[in-house]
Amino acid sequence: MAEIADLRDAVAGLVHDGDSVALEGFTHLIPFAAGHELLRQRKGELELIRMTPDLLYDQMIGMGAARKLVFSYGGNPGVGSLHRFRDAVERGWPRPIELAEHSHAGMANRYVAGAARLPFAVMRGYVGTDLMARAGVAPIICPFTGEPLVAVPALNPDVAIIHAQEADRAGNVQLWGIPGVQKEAVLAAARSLVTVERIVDELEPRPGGVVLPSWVIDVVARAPGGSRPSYSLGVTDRDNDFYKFWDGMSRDRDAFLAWMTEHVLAEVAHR
Amino acid sequence: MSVASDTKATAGEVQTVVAARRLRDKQTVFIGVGRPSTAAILARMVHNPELVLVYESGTIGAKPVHVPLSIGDGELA
Repeated sequence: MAEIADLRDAVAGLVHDGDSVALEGFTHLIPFAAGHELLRQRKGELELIRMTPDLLYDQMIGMGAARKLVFSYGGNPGVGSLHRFRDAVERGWPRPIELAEHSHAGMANRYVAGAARLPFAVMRGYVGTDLMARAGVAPIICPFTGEPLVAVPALNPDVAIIHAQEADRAGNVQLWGIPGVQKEAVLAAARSLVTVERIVDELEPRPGGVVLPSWVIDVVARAPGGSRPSYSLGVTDRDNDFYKFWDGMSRDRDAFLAWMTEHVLAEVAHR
Repeated sequence: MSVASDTKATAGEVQTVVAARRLRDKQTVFIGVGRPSTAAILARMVHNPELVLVYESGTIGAKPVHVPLSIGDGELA
């Protein structure tokens, strides 16, 4: 059963230096508050895993928290490059980073295999790109039809961290809107943390709602506004202006460090 | 924004209009952000209100009014 704890204690207890950590949420419901708490606690040497690294991973890479990034599509959605990510890849600042790049479908399939505790998933994809050789995927022949397909290895992170709109007092979670791979990431991981906008007496079924029962989650922590500048559908709006602001400001190392110090490191976690 | 009567359309605007026309008799379209989304919104407004937009974020049947910045904007949810 999930324990309901505060964010600071949850991160301290669940995430260790060197862990592989997936902070998921596909543009929607990105767990910024939890990621920022990892930075405040100086969690390091992390293998960060994510579909669309987005601004949160740009911040974590720029602060030197990651030794490796496993990802699909590294960019600021609709805006352009992630400049801290680029600086780490091109110039090793603040430290070199190892990359494992996949397609979105490849990452999603890897999580699905991990969630089912299977060793790999089978898909059509990668063929015709140099990711086929670089991503550690393997050709496989369908035993029924003879069709050439691609096998992708299961992804089983040490920790999955996601954000959702609601949990109940027993730690059951519901999220809705664009769902991403959060359910699969939680089921695939050894440990999991879900931050939520609010804790309610009873979860009300929602169209398209994704429910994660308490028994698949380790810790639920309240973090109102915890996905900003991403969003929590029906609760907060995506701050598109911030995504554009980040593109300019984050190009400069000193401006970036000053911004992170003022807005992330100096903040106090939600209690 | 004022537009003089003799202002010529930009190449991007022409592309958008041409793309919107190509969606006139289609049922579904896998659509990206930027100019493609602008074309899809125009197509739904002018030619084909039943057009089903499918985005990379998994939204099916999105009905954006404003051009989304990203494939995951709440506008598409």
